Amino acid sequence: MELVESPPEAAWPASLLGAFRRGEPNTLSQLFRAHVNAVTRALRVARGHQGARVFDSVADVEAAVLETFSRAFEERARLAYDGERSFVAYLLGFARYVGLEHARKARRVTVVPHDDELDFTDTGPSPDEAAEATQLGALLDDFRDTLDPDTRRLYELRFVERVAQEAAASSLGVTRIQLRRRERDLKLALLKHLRRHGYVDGVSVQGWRVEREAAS
Amino acid sequence: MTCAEGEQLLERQFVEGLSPVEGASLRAHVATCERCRRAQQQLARVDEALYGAPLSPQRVEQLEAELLGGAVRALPVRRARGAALAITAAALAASLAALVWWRAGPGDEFQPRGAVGSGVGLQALCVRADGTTRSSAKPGQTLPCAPGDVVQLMYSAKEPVRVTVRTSGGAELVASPGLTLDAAASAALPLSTPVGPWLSGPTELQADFAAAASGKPLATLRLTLTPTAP
Repeated sequence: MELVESPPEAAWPASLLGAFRRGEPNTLSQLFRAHVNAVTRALRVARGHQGARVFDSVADVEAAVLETFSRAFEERARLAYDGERSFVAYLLGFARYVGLEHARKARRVTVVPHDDELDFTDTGPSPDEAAEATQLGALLDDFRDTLDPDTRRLYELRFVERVAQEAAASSLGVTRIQLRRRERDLKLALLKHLRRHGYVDGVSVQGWRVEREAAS
Repeated sequence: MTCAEGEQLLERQFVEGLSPVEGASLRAHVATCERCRRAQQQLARVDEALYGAPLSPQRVEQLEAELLGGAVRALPVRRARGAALAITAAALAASLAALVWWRAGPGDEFQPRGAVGSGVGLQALCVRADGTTRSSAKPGQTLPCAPGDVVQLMYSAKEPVRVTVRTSGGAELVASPGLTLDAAASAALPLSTPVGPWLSGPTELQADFAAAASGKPLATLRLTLTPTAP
């Protein structure tokens, strides 16, 4: 399954709206895949009325993403969506409530704020984050330089050109399952590389071998 | 979950993604483990650098399976009788996520399970102390459960409901009477109950559902709990 970014915002055709309102699993699945990264981005940078980030961790953001979609996909909410207004805005409306609830529970907000007191504007990385990104970029470049030509081509297709798995598999002359397996091995090697250079704290590569083949 | 186990899951999440069970379990672990939280943050940055998006394809698949298999939210476990309850909410959530994910069939993700035409459904799980699921039962079925396990109820409701749960032996399984629940599909009741001496023989569990708004009775669902060896 490839990531699909949010499609252009336009009024939904009646068939799509009907499928969404009926809660058809394939439609919900496609909508989730299309918008989950946008919602994740928004929640990750969400700031409360005092400017503090609402979510401290990846796990908190993930939980909030699940909660957002869970509410947006409830029957009552589905029936209330008209297909005219932006679906991203519809999702972010739920994300806003989820974020505000989280902030209130975390005591970052002492009173119930107004709707406009959760800011999804990405103000860019902090100086520390920017420095870490630079360090990480250098480590990734180093790693790429260690790869044999075939593996390097895979790395470039998937992580530089960001070609979808199916197209990358075709380009490399392998099946998609083979590509997934190779990509998995590549990421494991990358993890070892990062660990060796002290980037990833607290994660030591155990040398486990993946036995379960993910569905493609 | 130990920190070492958390680290292994972090690795696997990065490399190939996790099952919904593991994902929920890891999320609960990192909430209390600063070391794993920091490592997860770093790995997320690596994924973003690789894929140009906050979530890798593996993470998207994992979250989708958690969501469309029946979202399981954080489960505060009632610590009845002090700290005797060994199971963690994280392990319980993971186990529930596993079951719900496993059972979710195409086309029914947002439909009540175990419903009887009344818009409500009930399912009981018996969860071991290590977070694995020993057994599950729907209305009319029997749930074997051992001392030290935890009984957790899942419900589905098309509208907000009030539910009262009683057992034939008089044991209280949830904070009854009249726990108000939101409309949900395969959501966990916010409380669970450890199996103790009260489950000494077959015990009928009865859940009475009523509409929260009107108080109109919707359904009475029953299943049987029975003791089994650990």
